[in-house]
Formats: sequence, C-alpha cells, structure tokens
Amino acid sequence: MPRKRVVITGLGPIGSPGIGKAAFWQGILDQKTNVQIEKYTVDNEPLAEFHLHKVEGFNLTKFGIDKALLNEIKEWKEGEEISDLNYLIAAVKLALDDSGLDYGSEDNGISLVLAHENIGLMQFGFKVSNLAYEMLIDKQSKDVNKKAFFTNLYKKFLKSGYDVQTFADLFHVAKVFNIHDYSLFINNACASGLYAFEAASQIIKNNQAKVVVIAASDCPEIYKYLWFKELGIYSPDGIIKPFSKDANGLVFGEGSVSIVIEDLETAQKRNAPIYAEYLGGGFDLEGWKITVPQIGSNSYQKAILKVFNQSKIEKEEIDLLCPHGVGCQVIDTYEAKAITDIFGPNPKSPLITAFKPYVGHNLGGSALLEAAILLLSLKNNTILPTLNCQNINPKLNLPLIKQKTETNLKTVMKICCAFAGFNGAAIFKKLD
Amino acid sequence: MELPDLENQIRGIIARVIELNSEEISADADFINDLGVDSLKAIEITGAIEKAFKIVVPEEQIRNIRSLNQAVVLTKELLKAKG
Repeated sequence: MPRKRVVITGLGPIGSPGIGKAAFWQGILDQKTNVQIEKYTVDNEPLAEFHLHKVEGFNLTKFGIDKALLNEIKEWKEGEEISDLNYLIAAVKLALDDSGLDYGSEDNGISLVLAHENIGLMQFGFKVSNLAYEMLIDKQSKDVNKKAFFTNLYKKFLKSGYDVQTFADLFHVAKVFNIHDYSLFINNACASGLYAFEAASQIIKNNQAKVVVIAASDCPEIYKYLWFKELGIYSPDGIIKPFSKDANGLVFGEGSVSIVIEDLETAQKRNAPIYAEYLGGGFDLEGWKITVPQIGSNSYQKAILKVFNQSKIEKEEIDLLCPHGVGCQVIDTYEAKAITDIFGPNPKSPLITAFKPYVGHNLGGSALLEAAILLLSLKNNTILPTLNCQNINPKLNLPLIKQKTETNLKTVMKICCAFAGFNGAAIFKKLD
Repeated sequence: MELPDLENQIRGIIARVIELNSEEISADADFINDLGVDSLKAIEITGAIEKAFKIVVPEEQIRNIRSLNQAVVLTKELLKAKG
C-alpha cells in the first residue's frame, strides 16, 4: 500500500501584520511590523518595558464561536482572558474556515496537535506570587506555618494548577471545534511548530485521522523578557537584525497560527485548496545546554540532512530557505555555519530569507508561524526580503534576500535551532 | 591530577580552539581583551574542556570563563565535586 501523502489545505495566521490569511499577507507585503513598547507594572510600580510586535484589533467574540464554550473556558481560567489561548482558538477557526472543512458534527474525524512553549506559565507564576505575598502580609504578626501555607496554596490552586497542565488547553481548543480524534500537545521550545507538523503528518500516515489541525502560539511574557534580557539576547532597540554585524537580540511577537493538513486523496475528493505537500521533517537533539548551542557540533547539519533523506529531495531542489534568523550573534553564527556547511559559503541556491523581522519571535509558535509565511510565499510565488539586514555579517557567508522578488517557487524549506538543541527542518513542495 | 598538569592540559585545549601557541596563553590573560576570543570561541572552549575532563559546566558559568586561570579553578572545582 503506497504511503499517504500529506497536503496543506488551510491557513490561519494571526500576527502583527494582520489577522487571517489575506490581511496577514497584505500586512507582510506592506511591512507592517507594528513594533510597540509593552509596559509592565506591579501594584502600579513599573517593573519593566520592552519592544514587541503587537497584534492589533483582536477580539475573540467576533469569530463566531459558541459563547457557552468560551464561558466554560473563562470559568476554568477564573475570569481571566488568556491571550495565547484566545489566539489559538481564533487561529484554528480561521484555518478550518480557510480549508472549507465542515467540523460541525461530533464525528468530524479531525485530530488536533497544539504546540506551545510556555503555556500558562506566567499567569500561574503571578497567581503564586500574589497569593504568597498576601499570605505573608497576613501572617506578619503570627508565626508563618509551612503546612498551613501549603494547604492554603493547594486549595486556592485547584483550578489554576491546570493553567500549566498542557492537556487542559488541548481539551479546551478541541471542545470548541468538536474534535475527538487522536490529539497531542507538543513542546520542543522554538522548534515546537516543526515537531508538531511532523507529529501531525504521522497521525495521517498511520491512519489515525484523515485531517489534522495544527496550531501554535506563544504570548510574550514579562518572565521571559526578564530572563532573555539577563541572557543578553533581547534587542534593546526593538529591531531584529538577523545575521547582521549589529544584531543585538530578538524581539517578541504576539500571535498564533493554525495549519490544516490532510491526506491528498481526501483533499482532492472534496476539491480542497491545496497550498503544498509536506514532504517531511528532519530532527536532531543536540542536548548540550538549554540556552547555548554547542559551537562546533554538527547537530543542526544532521537535522537538515535528515530532512533531505526523509523527503527524497536533493538539496539543489530547494528554491527558498527560511532560517530561524533570530538576530542573536551566537545563534546566528551557529545557524549560518550549519547552512553554509550544507549549501556551501554564499550559496546562490537556495535563496535565503528570514521572517522574524516581520512578526517578531513567537517562541513556541515561531516555527509554525514562519512556515505559514513560507507557504503563503509559495502560493503567491513571492520571495520576501529580510528586513533590517543592511549590515549582514560578511564572516557568516550567508546572503539574504534584500528585495521582494516574484518568481516561480516550487520547493521551500523551514529550519529552526531551538533552546536545548532541538534542531529541526521541514520541506514543502507545490503539487505538480 | 596535579595542578600544573591540569593547567597545561587546559592551556593546550584553549590553544587548539583559538589557534594560538600554548606559550602565548598566560594564566591571567583575558580571553576577550588580550587574546581576541569571541563569545563563540568561549563556548567552544567550554565544550572542549567538558569533553576532555568529562565534567558538566553549568550554563551560567560559561560567561565567567574569561582566562586560563578561571578555567583551571572551575575545572578543579567541578572535578572535586564529581569525586
């Protein structure tokens, strides 16, 4: 029996350029990066402020989603509006609508794969911090009893403990869309989107489902900002400059993305719009340190070589490559070395362009969001320039596209080198 | 391992990574200011020391290894902790 072929039939991007496929793509073409300053305060005291690619005009109630289901989620979230969960739900709605699939019935045969790097982390952290502070203030005149403290904490966190249990958000999103088939939650740091794509394609290839909705999101948080600032990888001027001499760090990007994939036969039977075929993924876990890539290792190269093997594609066939392009000197150098080891120094092919300067770094959602931009580039036969790359570091031997070009694209590749050394690559090809 | 041996071995590792002669690397020379080592080479030095001595350098210490002396002290501590 021939192996099933997996195709992309729906896209639902949400980011600083816009909400939904058409507005998002137009925003990309218009270079609407929408970088603003986010300010955090605690009890009206300024804590920090940082640049961020912001989503504008988002309102989940405008997406036509059952209010009773949204209220149930709100109850679990103790009245809080959780941006990244809201973005996830909206992105799935956009992607399903784009695919033309009917998901109204309870046996719609759809699977769900969610990807996120930090789900619930900050809201849970804030709740613990607030409660601990209140209890300490309350206990000032009495002895602080550790057992009583723990018992109180446990009772207060019966619900919000689920903020950081990944299955809960998988449950919430699945319930909104009547999804009952085999479903997964993925976390492989910034490479989560590529791992999610591969896991979703395996669901189809193994006959667990004919349609899988993949969705990824990550909402920038103060905790992550403070940590990245301490590591020296957050751009103080709010400009991501991939592979540049003056690269000084990343900038967060709000948003989410969902991609619908299905087996080719099912898609063709229902005359679905087909963006491309997913040819496969290649992965390698370097496993040296969490926050630092191992300079001198060949883990990233291995991931890229594995994807060629999986996809039965020669490297010469790749027209366009989208790297992680995070704009941090160490990571950029690590990435450029891997690319030039595979394709040679200053390769003429593939053309290389990085998308983070458009949408910011969406962390656990970034690889999938950038894969969606790549798929839109493929559909529109358009190669986008890398923004902010006037001073490319010549030592990296990596040419980047500086001007928008319209050309016939056939095969594109997304690669990503994530924290902890989760290195991944994926190849997409237009159907003949 | 005696300290001079350890120092010589680490000096050799650093020399190999940054492509200098061992004798050009004095114990106190600052990697960045005196030897022109960039952050990438510093990471590579850490990886090479870990491999040679089968130790694990905590991530937050990587940025603190700025001289042969500091590398020797840290390696000694980590070997001692390893037992």
